[in-house]
Amino acid sequence: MNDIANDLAEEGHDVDFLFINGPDDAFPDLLANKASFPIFQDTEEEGAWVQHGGTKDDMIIYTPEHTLHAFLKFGGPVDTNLSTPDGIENLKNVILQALGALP
Amino acid sequence: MSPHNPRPLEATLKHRSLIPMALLALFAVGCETAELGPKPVWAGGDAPALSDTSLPDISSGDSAVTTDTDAATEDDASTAETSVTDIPVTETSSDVTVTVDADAATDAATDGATDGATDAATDAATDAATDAATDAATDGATEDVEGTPDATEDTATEDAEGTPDADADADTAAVDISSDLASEDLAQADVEGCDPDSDPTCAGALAPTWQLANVAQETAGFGETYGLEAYTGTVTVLALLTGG
Repeated sequence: MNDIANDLAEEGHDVDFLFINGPDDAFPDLLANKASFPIFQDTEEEGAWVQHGGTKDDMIIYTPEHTLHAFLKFGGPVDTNLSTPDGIENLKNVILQALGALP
Repeated sequence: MSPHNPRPLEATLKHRSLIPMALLALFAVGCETAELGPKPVWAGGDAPALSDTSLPDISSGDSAVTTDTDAATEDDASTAETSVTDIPVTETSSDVTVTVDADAATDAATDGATDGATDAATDAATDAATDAATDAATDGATEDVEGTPDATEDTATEDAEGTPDADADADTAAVDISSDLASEDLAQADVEGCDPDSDPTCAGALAPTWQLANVAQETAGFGETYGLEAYTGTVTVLALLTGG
């Protein structure tokens, strides 16, 4: 995901990337090793994952007005596996659409 | 004076007149037999008829040979059925051949009739098919011309409703997201009846208002508790992950 963020920044796009670590996971530092994004530690009390209606590895894109642009369910019709070129390209295209850079 | 003897003179004169007549008669008979000239005028009666000769009449096909073979065929009718069928049929042949080759002729006639019928049926079918195809093409062309406004109306209606396009986009999105898709089609829960007010996965749903601590040490806001409101005004990408 770092590569996508860097590509978009180089193209002049302003995009924020965030991680929300699962409420049952006590090792958010492991996520920090993967990217230099803010990492929010979810809790049972706050229930951020539940508020988003998602589960592990789901990706959610909001417009600048913070209305939902796309909810990419992991394993859904859109490949978002970032270990594959297709997954990276798919996610990047969705972000570009949210930016209005794509039709 | 020597005595006059008229008998030898009369006999000589009679013989002299008969010789040319005899020659003429012989010549006439020869010509008639060989059919080389006109029938001579016979002093002693009618000239012999052509049918009285022993030559075969090839024009009618009825000949002595034919009659004999017919008789043989009739006599051997019980065996001729199987033994004569291979004899070739010649239309210009006499009655003999026709009689002997009755089965073959029948077969040939049957085959001919069958072939003819088949050819006729084929021709008829071909003609009918051609006519039908031509008619269909003509009708189709006519319908196309007549149906053009309807097709346009239908397309316009579907476009106005948006349903066909949405379905097409959804199908395309599953295959290639890099194509030109409407942004709302990319929402996972962007299905008919999805209510963004009650379902946060519906396109257009407002971002949640959770407040969590940023635990990434090398980022701005580390150790602080805040939420998505801090990123308002920019496209925000969230990933629900686990480090363990």
